[in-house]
Amino acid sequence: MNQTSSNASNMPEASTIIESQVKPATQKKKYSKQNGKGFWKRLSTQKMLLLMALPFVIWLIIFKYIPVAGWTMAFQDYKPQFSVWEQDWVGWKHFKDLFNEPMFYRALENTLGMGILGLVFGTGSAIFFALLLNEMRFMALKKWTQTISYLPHFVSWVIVANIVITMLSPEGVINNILTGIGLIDSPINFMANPDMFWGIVTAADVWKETGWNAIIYLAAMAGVDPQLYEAAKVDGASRWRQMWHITLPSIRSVIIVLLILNIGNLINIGFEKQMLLGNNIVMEKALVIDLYALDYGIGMFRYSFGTAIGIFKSVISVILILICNGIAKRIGEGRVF
Amino acid sequence: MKKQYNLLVALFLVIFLAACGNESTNNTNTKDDDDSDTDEPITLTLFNADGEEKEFNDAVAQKITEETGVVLEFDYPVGGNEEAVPLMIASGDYPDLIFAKGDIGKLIEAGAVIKLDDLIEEKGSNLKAMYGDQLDRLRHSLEDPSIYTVGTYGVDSPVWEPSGTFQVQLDVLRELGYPEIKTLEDLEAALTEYVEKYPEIDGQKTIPLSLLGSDWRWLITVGDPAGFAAGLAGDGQWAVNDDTGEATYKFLLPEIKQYFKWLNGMNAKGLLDQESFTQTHDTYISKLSSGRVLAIADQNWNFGDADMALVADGKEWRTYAPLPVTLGEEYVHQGIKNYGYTGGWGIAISSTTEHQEKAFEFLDWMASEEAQILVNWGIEGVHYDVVDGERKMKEEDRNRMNTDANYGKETGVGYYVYPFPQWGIGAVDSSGQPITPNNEEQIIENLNAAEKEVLSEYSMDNWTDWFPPAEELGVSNHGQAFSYNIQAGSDLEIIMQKADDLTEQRITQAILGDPAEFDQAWDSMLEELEAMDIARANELMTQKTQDIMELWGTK
Amino acid sequence: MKKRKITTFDIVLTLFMFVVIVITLYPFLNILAISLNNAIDTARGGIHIWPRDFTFANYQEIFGSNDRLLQAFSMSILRTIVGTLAGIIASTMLAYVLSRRDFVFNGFVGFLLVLTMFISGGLIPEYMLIRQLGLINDFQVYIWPMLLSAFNVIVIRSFMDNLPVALEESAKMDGANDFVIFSRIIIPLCLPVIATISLFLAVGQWNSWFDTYLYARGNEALTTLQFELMKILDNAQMSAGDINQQNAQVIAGQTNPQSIKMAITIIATVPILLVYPFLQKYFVTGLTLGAVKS
Repeated sequence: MNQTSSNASNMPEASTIIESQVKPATQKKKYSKQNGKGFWKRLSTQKMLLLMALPFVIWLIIFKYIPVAGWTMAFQDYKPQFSVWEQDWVGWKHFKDLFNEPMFYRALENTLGMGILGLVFGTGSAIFFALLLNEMRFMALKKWTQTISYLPHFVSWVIVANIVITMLSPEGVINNILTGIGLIDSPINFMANPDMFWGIVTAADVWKETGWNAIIYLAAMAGVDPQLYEAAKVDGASRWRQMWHITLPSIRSVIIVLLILNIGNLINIGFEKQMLLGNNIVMEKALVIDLYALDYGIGMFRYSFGTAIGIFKSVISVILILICNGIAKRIGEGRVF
Repeated sequence: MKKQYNLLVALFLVIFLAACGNESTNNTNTKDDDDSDTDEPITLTLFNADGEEKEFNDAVAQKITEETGVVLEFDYPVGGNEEAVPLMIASGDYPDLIFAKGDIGKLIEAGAVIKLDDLIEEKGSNLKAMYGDQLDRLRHSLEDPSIYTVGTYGVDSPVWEPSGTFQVQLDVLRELGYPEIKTLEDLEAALTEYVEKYPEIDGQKTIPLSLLGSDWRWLITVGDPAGFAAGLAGDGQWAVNDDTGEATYKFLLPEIKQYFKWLNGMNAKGLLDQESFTQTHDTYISKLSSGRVLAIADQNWNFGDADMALVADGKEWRTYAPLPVTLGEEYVHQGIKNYGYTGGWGIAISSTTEHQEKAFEFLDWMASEEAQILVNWGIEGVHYDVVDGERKMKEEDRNRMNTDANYGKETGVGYYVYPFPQWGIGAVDSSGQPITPNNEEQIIENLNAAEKEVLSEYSMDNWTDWFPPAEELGVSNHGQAFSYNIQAGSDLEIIMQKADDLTEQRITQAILGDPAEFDQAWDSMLEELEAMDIARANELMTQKTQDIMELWGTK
Repeated sequence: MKKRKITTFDIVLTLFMFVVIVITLYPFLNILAISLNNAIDTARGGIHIWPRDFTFANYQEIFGSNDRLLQAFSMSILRTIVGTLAGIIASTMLAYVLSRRDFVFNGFVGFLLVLTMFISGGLIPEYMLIRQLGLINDFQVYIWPMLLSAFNVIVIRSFMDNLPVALEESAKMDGANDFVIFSRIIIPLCLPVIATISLFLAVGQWNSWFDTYLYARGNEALTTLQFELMKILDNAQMSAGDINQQNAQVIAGQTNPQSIKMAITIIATVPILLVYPFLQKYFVTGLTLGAVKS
């Protein structure tokens, strides 16, 4: 650690050295793979690990995998009063119906569009906010900011949507400010513009969830070795530099793991905020898969059709996560499994 | 130390396995009451799709238990859960009584509910008396003409409070010298004149016409008023010929297009609130409550909060009068049409109940005159008095009934009317007195002072006098199309849902668009409707209507 | 730590955080103000952060309309505590196993776990399972189905991946078994992430009401605060589903004013909000490594 101070005048070099110091600390635990030893031999030394894992494997199978038997519904004309043997089996019918439905493609486009925006801005804002909080020097203010910033997470979308729509209305606060400072001449009816809808949803989401999502990154930052900062300070590195060269690299693997999981969930963005913020003018941009599944699936007792949509979503998610995990493994940064 | 941890692991495993193997120690709803002939009341569970949290312990409930030996226990889909009925069917755990609304078809298909025909024939004297010649309207379908359900809506329900049509502020009528407003043109002229005179009300901009078309309420503030203006009856999205049973998706009709063209013009002239299709219900109510909205097109129950706030502020002249406006003098407004008993939904008895007989006896008793007076008026001497042989609600109770939303829930008065078998507001008992307190006399008495003054200026007793009288319109042969039991997941339901989703968007866009482009926008919507096979939906709906008319014997 | 001088950076940062506080606090103050405002007056709109016609009536109505709230409140606390403890033990233990790359079934168990994030059998099969297991109307139904979440396990594991391996190896040299390493060495190093996941678990448990409705409404002793509040709220909301004139009229008669809804939000969220400040002390930079070195 002490050699970093010797070269204080040469900043770029110093920061590379700092970074190289960060690396070892953040590198993954490496266990001797005990290569050469046979499977059974290794297993025999891992009895305790096996014992620790077994209850949870059983749990996963019972609570998560047994209900997946319900996927058979997608290949039947499911009627809840019958057992699985008495159902009408119809093959891929419901999938064909789904793929022949133009509304489904519109819903898919909107889902992925808002999903990607949410991923980029949601993750970005949370990390940025966590970094800033981490830099705060006035402890009392830091604690208050942290606590208050996560309050909106607990407010239901019904209420948030109401507030957002009121603020963005032609007579709302935003328009008053914009006309007040002379940026626009006449009020803009934001909610009536389909092109703005994705943006509004994303902004509302960022507002509601940034404080909450930042918590996990803050926890990760708590694990950074303070000596790294001390060394950087001696080198005269600015606060931005410290964030960029120490804090971020230290939590890189956590960021990547969360990113992979969130990419897997791109298609699972729910429908609540879209339904509550949407209206008949912007519906073409607001229809998402989960809303479609509710209205045209279970809402109509079409369990088989609803399940087919669910399977489609699962397949997309699994493909996405396999790709991302593969990339992460290849570049040697974070992994999910 | 090490030993302790091992113990912990072992303990954890034991709990885990124990829980997995634990075959129900305290399973299912504990119903330990057999049908023994004791005086102990029997508890019947009632699934009410429209229910809310409620104990069966108010004064009226206690009286019901006294008379029938039945205590009700309510179950309902908390949080608006759509899957309550499917779960019921999948698990086979049915309550004793089921009010499942539109899901009843699935329950019948699953054999979850029993046929009531024989029971009604043998011991349903009260039900027979109540439904009389409308008993056929309870039948399920042409293929399965049995009776599975009773109740929901009242038998003999004339309209004494017109609702769902255009409503105009009383002050507009007063200021313009009580003009005659019969057509959309008249209305537009009145609004234009008033807003020129008073561009501001209480310091805020006057809004000539505001709608609430941002969510499902589009149907009641945009869709339904179009139908009324075009002289259609309240069949939801359908235009039904009551003689032939021919049904047409109403947005295909040229007169409906004419209505929306007018609305498009209103928008272009700045007479339509520009927030009409984006505002939330709360915003809409607060605008109405401020008294600066001159006209709306809405159901009374949807803006009741605003009405209450206006009266509380002493702004009675800012409350609204329902108008019988149409596209032109040649259209007949059907605002107060009598649809007869519309059937469709109702309470069913489950096939698994241990108290089948008792459940039926209970439902039949609820249809009796004694029961109907009890549930509508409460208990004599407590909630109402008999003066000169006439029932009179106690003053305090009547006030609370009109102003306190919790009155029914607390006392039970009026609470056990819907969805049980019920007489409508037009029915009279054996002594010729109205069976419900909501009779016309009472409704007129409850109007506010400004309303009464306007009525007298037009020399009318009630707003209904403005509308073409119900007697001339006749009783509907098919009920109302929107309350049909349409098979869930059927082609008809899917096309209808798609068509509704489409029209709500396209019509909204057309209204807000440039008037020069309106025709084009409308035509492209018609093309899209055609592409989703709306013709087939028309056919299926016509078939459905004709089947119903045949089943009901009204063809 | 030496006192550093306050830079422009600090000033800008502080100002920025004030803005954040204002825009995130607003909705909550708005809700609080409306909940303390006369219900009829609320319909007129225009309430921001201060009630116009102050009253406690909305709260009184909620507590008056339901005498089970206190009992439901205790049950909510109980399930939150038990559920969080069980969840955190299970998640960290599985996370540790998965952090051991030398474990022979590592890849298999990891995949099995991650897959559960993206597959779901749907409500009916899940309900039938719980019924088969005999968990209906049993307290355990609040614990077992929510025991593990793949997301939480993966997050904890990614923290463990970052821990220095030396400590673990030296413990192994001393002959400690894997469970001892996990409980004596790994857990103390993971306090920040354990605090975070505990918060997630606690909030999840606290906010759950659907499982109460689905699996436990037949047993009054198991009712939870969120469920009771949901029922009150329910009377205030009309479902957009099958609405039609006549029955909507009936439901609208039951509608509670906006103020009641807001008061419910306050009652439902304030208790869980109090948890976070207690966990904050685990988020101090350097805490983890400091603990190791001492």
